[in-house]
Amino acid sequence: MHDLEFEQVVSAYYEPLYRFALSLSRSEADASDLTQQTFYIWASKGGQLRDAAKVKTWLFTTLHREFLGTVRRQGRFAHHELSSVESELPAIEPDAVSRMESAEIMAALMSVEEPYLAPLALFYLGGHSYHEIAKILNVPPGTAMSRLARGKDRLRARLSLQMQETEGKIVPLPRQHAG
Amino acid sequence: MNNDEAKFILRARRPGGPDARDAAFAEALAHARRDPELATWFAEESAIDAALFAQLSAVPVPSDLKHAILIGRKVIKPQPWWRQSVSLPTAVAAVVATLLCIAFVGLREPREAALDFSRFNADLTDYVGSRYGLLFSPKLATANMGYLGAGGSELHYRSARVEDIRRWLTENSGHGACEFPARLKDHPSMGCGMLDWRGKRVSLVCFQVGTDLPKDKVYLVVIDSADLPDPPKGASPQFTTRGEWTSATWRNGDFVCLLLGYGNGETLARYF
Repeated sequence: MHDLEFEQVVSAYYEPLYRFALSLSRSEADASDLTQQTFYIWASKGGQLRDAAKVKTWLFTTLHREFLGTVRRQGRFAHHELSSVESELPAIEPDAVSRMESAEIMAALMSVEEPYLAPLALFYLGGHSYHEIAKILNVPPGTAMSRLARGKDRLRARLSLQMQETEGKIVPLPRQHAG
Repeated sequence: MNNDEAKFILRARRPGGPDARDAAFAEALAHARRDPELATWFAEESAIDAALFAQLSAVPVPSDLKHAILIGRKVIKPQPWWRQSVSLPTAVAAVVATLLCIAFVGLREPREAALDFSRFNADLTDYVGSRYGLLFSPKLATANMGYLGAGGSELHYRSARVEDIRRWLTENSGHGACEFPARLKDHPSMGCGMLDWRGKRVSLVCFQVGTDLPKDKVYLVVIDSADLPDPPKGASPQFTTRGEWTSATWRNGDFVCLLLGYGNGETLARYF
């Protein structure tokens, strides 16, 4: 593979791949390593891929496999189950999401447990359809759809919880009266 | 389909892209168009998704990540050809071609052909001239150090630094200890590789000596003098022209060196 072709692929996909890796590993250093490793595998094997339209799915599939391989080898990236409080939380609104910081939303996403995290990350960070998600995660399309629906519930519950916590920390200033 | 079923399906839908043509969503969308409550829910759902997409696409990526990926790729060792998987038709074609070559060579050349120095010189000149001398894509003929020409994949390690090349050759049973021509060291190396010449180990180092690629490349080839029955004895280069290529050959201790380049002897003499 020529350097030019390699650089084009890197330019097109390194950002969404990094964000996907960050959501899985929850560590910037590990996310960078996973992203680099994925491109090096692409450099050595990606030339065998005949269909350019499949490059994106190939890269995300490879990164996910590398992540799972690292988890198996090192027992790292252990996900901690969070207490489930979804049903008691108020619904969130689009404006509220827009007012939040990107980092807060990413933190909420990363707090979603598996098996819902990877489909959600592929949906929001990778821009994949549920069919592509099913292929990348090697699950039936119905399963991908179901995990997306449940994952979205969990993500919104965490966003709602985060918003409540933030609001609780804000103490209104005393009003100043004119005159 | 009731509203709960429609909501379940529509939550997996991405606006635009392949989902726009997916039949699985058509019925749920039609249901949403008929039911105002579901339509309101879906509009709200889509707005939250749009806000999430926008926010998450702003999550910062390390500023040096792209650079690190591109630089790192230059120092990874490509898979040797014998470890790369090939498709069945390619493998069959390769086997057939190999058998034909064996038959052809068997008919054309006597088995007892001497593996002497002149054979080595001619073989390597032909090999380098034919494998590395042709341009794959004129668009890539720039001063870019990463450009390797048609035979780029034959180079197992790439670096512009001669020290890196020496280290890699030494670590890979090559001829890293061989002294390179004095003036050649002023030019950036493009990479190196290990060849098998009739069962003998040969090191090959490619140098870029100008910007008119692939002509402005020269190749240093090194073999153990013990692997040749009649190695040259002199340390001064002797020039031989073969077609459009010239080789300079000399002895460097336990090594026999060939410098190969496009053009006549004057082209190569400037590196000594």
